[in-house]
Amino acid sequence: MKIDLFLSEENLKEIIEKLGYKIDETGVIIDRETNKPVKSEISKEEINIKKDWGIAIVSGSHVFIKNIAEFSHLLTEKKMLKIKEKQV
Amino acid sequence: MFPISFSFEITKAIEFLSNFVEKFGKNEIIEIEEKELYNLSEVYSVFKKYREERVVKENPELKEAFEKMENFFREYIPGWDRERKSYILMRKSSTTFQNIISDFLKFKKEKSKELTFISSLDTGIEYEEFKEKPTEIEKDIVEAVSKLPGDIRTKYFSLVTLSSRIEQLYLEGRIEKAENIRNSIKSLYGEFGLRFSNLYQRGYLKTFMRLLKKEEPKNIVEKIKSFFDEAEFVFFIHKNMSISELEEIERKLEMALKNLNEYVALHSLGGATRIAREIIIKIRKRIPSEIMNQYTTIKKDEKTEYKIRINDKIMQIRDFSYIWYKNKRGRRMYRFFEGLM
Repeated sequence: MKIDLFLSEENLKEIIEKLGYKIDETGVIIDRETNKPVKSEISKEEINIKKDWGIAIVSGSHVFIKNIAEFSHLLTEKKMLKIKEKQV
Repeated sequence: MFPISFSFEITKAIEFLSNFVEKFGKNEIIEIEEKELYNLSEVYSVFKKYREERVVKENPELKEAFEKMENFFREYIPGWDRERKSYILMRKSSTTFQNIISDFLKFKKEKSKELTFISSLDTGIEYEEFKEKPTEIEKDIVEAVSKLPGDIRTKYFSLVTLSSRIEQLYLEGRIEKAENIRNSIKSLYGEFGLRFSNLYQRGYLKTFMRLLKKEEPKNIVEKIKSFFDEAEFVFFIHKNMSISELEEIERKLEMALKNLNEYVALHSLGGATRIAREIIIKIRKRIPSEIMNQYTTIKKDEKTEYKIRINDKIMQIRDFSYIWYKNKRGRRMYRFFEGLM
């Protein structure tokens, strides 16, 4: 699979549930298998779909992140950041 | 509150979406331009922002228009296809979409070497841009950060990249996106991260880091720590700061000057310059001239290369900064601000 998806709010909720999670009444995403809240791979905080609208689920054992700083940290860890030399 | 030309804009948005539906024909998936995707994201932001407004629910034309938008965003899914190297739009009912979801379900159990993600329409595009478009960073800075030990290296590399991206977005006039990044920095890296980003964008940290490439790796962490100590009294005003945050800055600024700290500065950009001017007026009244006379004072009140878009017009953002420095150390910090080594 080589396609990243950008979903509307409703579709994102639907897909999260299809992927084996449920969303509790406060917006926290729960893993149906463990019945535990899903946590961000980087900040280790719970993911709340009502508060963390920047969430992304990244391939590789479903890594959850909350925002672009976490995405940047993840890309840095994976040595996947694309850097171009700036001419001064 | 709706924008003045709201109805007109909505008509344009519906036309824009209808064109996509027409373009699809019987296809399951079509390629779209980057600009089209950005416009799609903007239409989605408007839809999200106003769909619950009373006027939308009560005005039959607006109600119909919003229902059309809702249907569109339910049925069509944008994405980035790494093989085609193109943005795409696909039907939710397509086999391609169903296969992506099946594959993603498998990834819960097995690690994938490729990085693919699912996110919301507005933020996902920012992630994609971040992932696919290289961030421009000076070679000297990359070399310096690369010398740092493991954990710190990841954090600093990420912060340098995010700060450079913020600067780029300011130069392009995409302030809202830049502020999203700044908020996420605060959320993940806390006040330190925010301070890092501000000092970097204002030139201090960028100039200082260029010097670090000559340092032994074991000294770099300590040097950075000393730099942050020396920059303790560099303050940044943001237009969204609360009254108590502004009062705290005002109090610290006054104390720093009364204590004759070697480098004291207040920086502001755009909408925050008005607040910073008010603080300076109050501070100048409160600090005795015998203290002020011990400092070299620099006032900056000028247009920057940063831009802001207001109603399709691009305007340059203004910088208002006040700097007081004394002695060799104060002068050294001022030179960092000016980008001089």
